[in-house]
Amino acid sequence: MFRFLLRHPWATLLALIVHGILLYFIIYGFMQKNTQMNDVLAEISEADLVQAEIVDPRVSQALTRHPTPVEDKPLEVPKPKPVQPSEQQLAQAQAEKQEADRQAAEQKKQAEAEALRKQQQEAENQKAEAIQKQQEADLKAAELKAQAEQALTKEKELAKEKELEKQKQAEALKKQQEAEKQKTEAIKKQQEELKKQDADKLKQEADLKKKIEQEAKDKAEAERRKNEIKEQAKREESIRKAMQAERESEARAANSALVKQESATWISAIGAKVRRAWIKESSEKAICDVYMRQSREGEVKEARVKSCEGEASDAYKRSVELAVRRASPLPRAPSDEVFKEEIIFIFKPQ
Amino acid sequence: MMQLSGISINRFTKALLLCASLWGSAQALAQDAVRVEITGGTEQSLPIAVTPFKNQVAVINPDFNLAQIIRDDLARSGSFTPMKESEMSAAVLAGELNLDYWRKMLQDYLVIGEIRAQGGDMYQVDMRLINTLNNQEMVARRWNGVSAPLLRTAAHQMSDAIYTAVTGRGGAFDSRMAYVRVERVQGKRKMFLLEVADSDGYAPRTILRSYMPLMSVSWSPDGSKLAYVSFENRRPEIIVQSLDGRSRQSVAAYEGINSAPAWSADGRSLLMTLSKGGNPDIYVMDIESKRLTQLTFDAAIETEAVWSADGQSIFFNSDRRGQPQIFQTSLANPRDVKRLTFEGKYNARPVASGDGRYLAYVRQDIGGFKVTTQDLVSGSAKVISTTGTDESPSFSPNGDMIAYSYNDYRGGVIAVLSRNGRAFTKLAINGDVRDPAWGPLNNSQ
Amino acid sequence: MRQKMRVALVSSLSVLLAACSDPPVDDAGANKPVVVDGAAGMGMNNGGLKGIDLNTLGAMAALEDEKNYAVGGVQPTIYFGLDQFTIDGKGQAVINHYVRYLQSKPTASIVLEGHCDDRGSSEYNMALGERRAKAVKDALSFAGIASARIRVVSFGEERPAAEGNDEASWSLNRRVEMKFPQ
Repeated sequence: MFRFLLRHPWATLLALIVHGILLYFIIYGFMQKNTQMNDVLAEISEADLVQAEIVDPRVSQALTRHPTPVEDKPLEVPKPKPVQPSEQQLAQAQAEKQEADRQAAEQKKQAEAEALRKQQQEAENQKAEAIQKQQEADLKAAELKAQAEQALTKEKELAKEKELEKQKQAEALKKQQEAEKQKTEAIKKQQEELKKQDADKLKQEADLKKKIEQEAKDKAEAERRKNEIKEQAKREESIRKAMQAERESEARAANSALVKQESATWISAIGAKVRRAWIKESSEKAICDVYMRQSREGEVKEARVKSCEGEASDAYKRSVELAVRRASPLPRAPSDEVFKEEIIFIFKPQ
Repeated sequence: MMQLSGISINRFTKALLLCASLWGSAQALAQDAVRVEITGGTEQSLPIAVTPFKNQVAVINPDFNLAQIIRDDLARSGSFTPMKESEMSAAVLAGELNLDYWRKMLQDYLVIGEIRAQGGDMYQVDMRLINTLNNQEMVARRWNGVSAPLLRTAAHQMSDAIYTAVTGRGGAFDSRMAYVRVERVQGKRKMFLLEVADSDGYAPRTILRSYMPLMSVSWSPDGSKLAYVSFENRRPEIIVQSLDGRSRQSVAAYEGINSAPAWSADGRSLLMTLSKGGNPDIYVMDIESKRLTQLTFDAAIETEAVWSADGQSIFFNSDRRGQPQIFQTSLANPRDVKRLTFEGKYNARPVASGDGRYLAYVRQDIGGFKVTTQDLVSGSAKVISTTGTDESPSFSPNGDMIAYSYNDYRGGVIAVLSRNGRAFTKLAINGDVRDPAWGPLNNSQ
Repeated sequence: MRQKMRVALVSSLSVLLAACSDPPVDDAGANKPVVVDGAAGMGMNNGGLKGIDLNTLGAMAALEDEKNYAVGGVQPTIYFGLDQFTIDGKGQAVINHYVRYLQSKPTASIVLEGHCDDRGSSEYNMALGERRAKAVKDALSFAGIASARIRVVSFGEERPAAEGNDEASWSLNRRVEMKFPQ
């Protein structure tokens, strides 16, 4: 065989490659299955991380590469964990619950630490968040409860299976013994025994069938119960989702009000900074419009006088253009929704 | 064909629609741009950093600071607040151009320059003015073949260039100031000197010395002659003297008062106060023919007449209402006299800015005698002086500054007030000095 | 038309007066001012500042006619109140004294020099000084002294008798001095 291979190296290589690829895909697929669970876990912990950072939206924005209004979205609901029957996993669930509580507590701390920056709004945000978190914690607890219940049923199932196993084994043993007994009396009553055997066999088969049926019934029962729980969980989830949706729309409404409020604050902060920066050295008066374009960080990229009402000297036009440039960098918009790239300033001298 | 045209029309329509929609959305977007109203605007001087000129110390003597001359000019105008040289970072000055630093130091404008020796005690000076907020180079100029004694003049011309580029108005620093100095000789005897210096009071030159008083100096519009009042013959006479020393003549020596000469913008006539008619009145004299035309006829005191910017009327001081007030009358119809000052019990010594917009005069109020400006368009007056013994205000050629004299415990002092009242600068002229007269721009030939 | 005639009249009168008045520039030479050479001029723009030497400083000896002629121990000075040109009792007494002197010397002429304190506009003070001197001239005329013998000159605030910035100095500066040229 080896010689054959050596005689056809390219074919060998190709075969190896093809097999390698195939193997890889098989393994990868296998891995995928395993890592799917890990992904779910990762997703959850990422969601946790975002939640923890929600107090300072700017930091969260820095973390998320693209402008996803994470901080303005309501908290993401973590997906339900896959079934974990062992005690170790239960403990893990409990630990996670503690983790969530701790994080909730942590978040509270962080919110308080940054109270100065957004005072009222932040307090409200935090309140809503806290409530949400509380609800979440509750959900998690209920969830864990369901999970615990599931674990119990699973336990029951296992016990039942074990029992069945035991029964099986006992019966098998019995059979053996009987067969041995009959063997010794076989010569005497072979015919009768044969008949009896046949009859017994039939009976056993019938019994076995019954047992199998019973097993199937039990399994079905267990399945049915399992589905019932699933349905229950589904129903609960849908209720929860409905509540969630309601909360979300409320939050959105509050959010748009929030966005409006933040916009007004931001615009007036910009106006104040530009006003402070407006100096002119003569008593000339004219009303001029200045177009301004800024970067997300508030750096003035372009500023030019669009038009003026009344006679305006070049020096006066320069004074209003420079007022905008002097005010750079402008106060940073608290969110992308609030941010406006282009602003037109209307300069009205007193 | 129909098919083709059908397609092309379709495409054309599509393109049209696309353009229309783009334009429409652009409009919408433009309307979307937030509009913010900015009401206010503080009137204040503009920050400017005039950095030391390269090679200044190495090339000229260490006492000569060209950048400081420019800083002082700009500060005196009341339109700029130059950064102090001591506050500039030595590292930044030594390194490459760093606009970020000047922006951080809140200096809107930056002046950089360089001096090069060209041999034979001649210099080449470069000057640039940069706007640090929009990175625009507003002025870039070179002065060639400047002799050492004229470096100060070159500095004043740079100040004018900077001033005009930023404010849009003409400069006034490349001009001269005439004034009277009083000295004591032999311990007791007074001596009166007529001096002409740069507009900042530096480099004075004496052009007349006399044991009898001199006063009321007036520049000819081309800057070649001075008219003034001299008591050399024990009575007030009006003398016209050329600055090149070629001529000096008495143009008015009538009985009584001959004083308050004021040159017309075309250089052909002199307003003057003569009391030969029985009481002090305003006359205009044609310098060539010495022909007189009387302009005021009231029995009260009329004096201190000056021309309006358009040369069609005169402003003067009359006490026909009891105390001195300022009036205006036209040359065409001198009997139609209009009163201009209604605030303050005593308003005298009017002078008019070259653009016809402002009047400056001295008003007496509780604080004493104070330089006051009046807007001839709106009529509103504003006391801008903080001293209390003010006399003889004189407008700079661009009307943005007013030179005047006042007394302190040592004697007479000449100072410059910016017309907006924001800057007050004592000129660096020692001794007892008075009667400043701000000459025209030096390039007005 | 009337105005033109007026102007012509006034001009011709003034020409006559000018002819009659003292010769403009060349006086006894005692007070000749010196036009000084103003050093190298501004080569860039205007022609250089140069002065002419009309006389040496040495010629400016002490001015003899600076001295007051106090006749009979009475100071020939009349003082005035702030912004006033009315003559008070003291002033009248001085005037009366010197009326007698002038009557005793019929060829003597008198120059009345009017002065002000330095507050206010110097040109307006010239006119005020003249008003004061004219008031004394009126008093002398009223007492019978011929106008032709009296000359009036104002120095405004330019020749103060006292240099201080207080009422004591100012009151000494608001005066008319009588001078008797030789």
